[in-house]
Amino acid sequence: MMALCTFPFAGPVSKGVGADGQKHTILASQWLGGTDLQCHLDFKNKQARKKSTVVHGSLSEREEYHSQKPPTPLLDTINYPIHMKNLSIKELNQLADELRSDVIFNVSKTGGHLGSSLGVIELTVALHYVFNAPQDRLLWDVGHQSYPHKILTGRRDKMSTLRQTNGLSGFTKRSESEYDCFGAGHSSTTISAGLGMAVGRDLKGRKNNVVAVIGDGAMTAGQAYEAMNNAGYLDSDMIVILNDNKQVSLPTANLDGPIPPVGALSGALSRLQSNRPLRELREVAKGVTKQIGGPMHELASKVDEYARGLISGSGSTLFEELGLYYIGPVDGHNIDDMVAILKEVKSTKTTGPVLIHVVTEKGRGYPYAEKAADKYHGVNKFDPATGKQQKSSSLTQSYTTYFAEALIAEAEVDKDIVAIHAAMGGGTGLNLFLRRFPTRCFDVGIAEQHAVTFAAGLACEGIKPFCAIYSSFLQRGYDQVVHDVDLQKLPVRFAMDRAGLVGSDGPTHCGAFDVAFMACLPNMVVMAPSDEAELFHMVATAAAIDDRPSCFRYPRGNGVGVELPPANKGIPLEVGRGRILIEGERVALLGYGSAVQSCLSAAALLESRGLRLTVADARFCKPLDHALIRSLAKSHDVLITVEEGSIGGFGSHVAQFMALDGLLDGKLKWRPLVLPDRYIDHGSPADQLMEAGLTPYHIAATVFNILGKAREALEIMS
Amino acid sequence: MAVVYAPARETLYQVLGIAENGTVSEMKKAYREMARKYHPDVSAPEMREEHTRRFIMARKAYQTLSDPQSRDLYDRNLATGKQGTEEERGYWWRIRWQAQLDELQKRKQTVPTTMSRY
Repeated sequence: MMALCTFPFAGPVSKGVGADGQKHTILASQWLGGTDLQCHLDFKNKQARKKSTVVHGSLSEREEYHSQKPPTPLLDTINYPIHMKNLSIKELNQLADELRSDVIFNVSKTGGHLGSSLGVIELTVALHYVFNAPQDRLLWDVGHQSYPHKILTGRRDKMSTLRQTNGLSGFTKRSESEYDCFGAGHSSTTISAGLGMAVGRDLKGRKNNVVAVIGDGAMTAGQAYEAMNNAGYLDSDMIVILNDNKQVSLPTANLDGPIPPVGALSGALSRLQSNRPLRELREVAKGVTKQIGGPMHELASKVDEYARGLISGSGSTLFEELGLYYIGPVDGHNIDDMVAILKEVKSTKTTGPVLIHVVTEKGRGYPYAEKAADKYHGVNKFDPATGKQQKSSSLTQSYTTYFAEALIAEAEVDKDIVAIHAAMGGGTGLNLFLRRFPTRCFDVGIAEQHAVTFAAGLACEGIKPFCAIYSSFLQRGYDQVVHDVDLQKLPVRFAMDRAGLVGSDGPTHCGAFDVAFMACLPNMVVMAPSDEAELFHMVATAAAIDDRPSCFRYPRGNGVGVELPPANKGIPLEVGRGRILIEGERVALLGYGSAVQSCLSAAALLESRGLRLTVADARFCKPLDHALIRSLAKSHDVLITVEEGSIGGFGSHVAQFMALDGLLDGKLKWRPLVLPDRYIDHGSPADQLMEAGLTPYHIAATVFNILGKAREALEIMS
Repeated sequence: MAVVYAPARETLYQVLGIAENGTVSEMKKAYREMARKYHPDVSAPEMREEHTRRFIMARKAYQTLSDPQSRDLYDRNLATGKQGTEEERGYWWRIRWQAQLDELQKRKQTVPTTMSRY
């Protein structure tokens, strides 16, 4: 498969060489299927020969991939797709191999999404070879598989900055490059956007192609059908590439093994891959030959010819009914095949919408990814030679895990509790719940709208549904929250993970708006834990609230280290009651959710400078703890509300109440600290918090500024 | 019968290293040998994961092929391409999409271009 043995080995041989002149394995022999490695290495020139005895097949080292990045002579000549146009198919294959190793080595240093990019190496090469980006529009659904695309479109030298502050985005981004014609992060948007681009092109009289690449997972979302339906109706010329790797949910495995794809679509796609009619035809032909006699191969080729005519009508009814012309399935790792098909479709005028069903393998070409149950979908930095990922050491677990454990504890004592998620069993922690309660965990595929109304239906029957959907993904199901849940006052519980800033995934995944859009709903109870113990209690509280909907938000990241309730069982809180954490004077910080921790840090900073602040944890945004707010407003000169959310959230609700209650008519100075009115780019959590102006230092500086101590404010910020 | 979620690189016969018309006793012998070689309890710690995988594959192959009913079902699936090797699958797929491309060309020659689409 890979011509790895022809690469001259230019780098220093020994990495971690033992004192006894240890072996340095490039490839274990079983990976190459036992082929002779005589052709492998060229130790001339710089290497100290004494260090380098290569022993292939050193199984004890278990290295199934390069430990050093192999040379990429062909890829080095490609900066933009235009440099690919004169390559032969053979060279395209070599380019694919080099591109693959480039992706692996880049991601090994930065972390990010790996498996999906590896699955589309050949597809990316074929697309850029046949089409002329950026005039031809190439759209990548979700965008996390766009790493090879970025490398081929002028961003190879920036790959080391991937997902970091001021670096390349981990998804497609219009402002980053003209080759990224549509930004993504959430799924299932590309057919819609592509159709818009196709119609726009036609209205403007242009002639470019539009190609949208979408995965089988993203195909489970309703928007994909809305788009295909419209595309079929308009009969616009565009190409949809269905990248089918049979991985529908994330991670693509639960704790105990690969997850069978959810939904009926996967079965339909599988059946498309069956060769039954062709095979049966051939079997019949064999039988016929036996009777007639004559050279088998001649007849076989005639059968093939006839077969072509016969089976051409066996396209997929599903897509054809929607008005898309179906071609496939196609081997997504065969550049030859894909180039042939793409060229032919491109050269056919006025095709209307065409869907090319491409079958790929997630993680292809990196043995550890291929073997892993989750196909190395998202990885930390890792060692390419062994596949071992860096484990971040932390004394506490993630809020995600704590949520799952809390829900399990509740479900142990209440048979009616069920959990629902939208293709995010790992990301929401519900894989743990699934393992404990296999019949009470529902994965609906990428279908947030359906998940919410489905939960509403369950609630009608007396079940207690917990919908675990990321804050930003819940945006997709918002009308269902309003119309199906809140309006009818159905007790659906929403567990919103990834609230606030999320780090390297960037603004598409940032949960900035959930406080605003949930707290404005008349019947919704809205709360946020300030630490993991509070999370356990709020899960219990939500379980106990059975007459109206409720929600709670928690951030990405790990707990702060407080003691957990015994047996993971929280105690329901009194609804609409906050708590005071530190009693101080003059200045009160009223935090909501994880911001409370920043408030505590700010108070510590100010304590050392002679100010003793009051710090309170609001716990509830709706209903607000009126007594607490009144007391703080009346006994302090300054009240600062802090939250990691947009305007219109907690601070706004507090202001509304205070205004109506007359608390702002006196000498109180109120200031809100919220996320700024702009999107915060991807980066490290610390950088993002800095950019947002919500670090403890910013809070402390705000206090100083209000107190008229500008100099101290500047000091603390430097 | 468990469904395989990656394109099968080898048939169950190839896993055991026997011919497609192999007898049950040949199968037994092959399986025993593989079990001896790959059983996790006799593997060196660093090979355990890989050997466990092969052991499980071998056992699955033996279980499927040693039972006449499941073997028959498997053989039929193999014949109709549901569990073929990658090369075979590629061949059949190629025939199909070439036909689909031909059809697309033909279609576009007969369908009149619409005057105004929107």
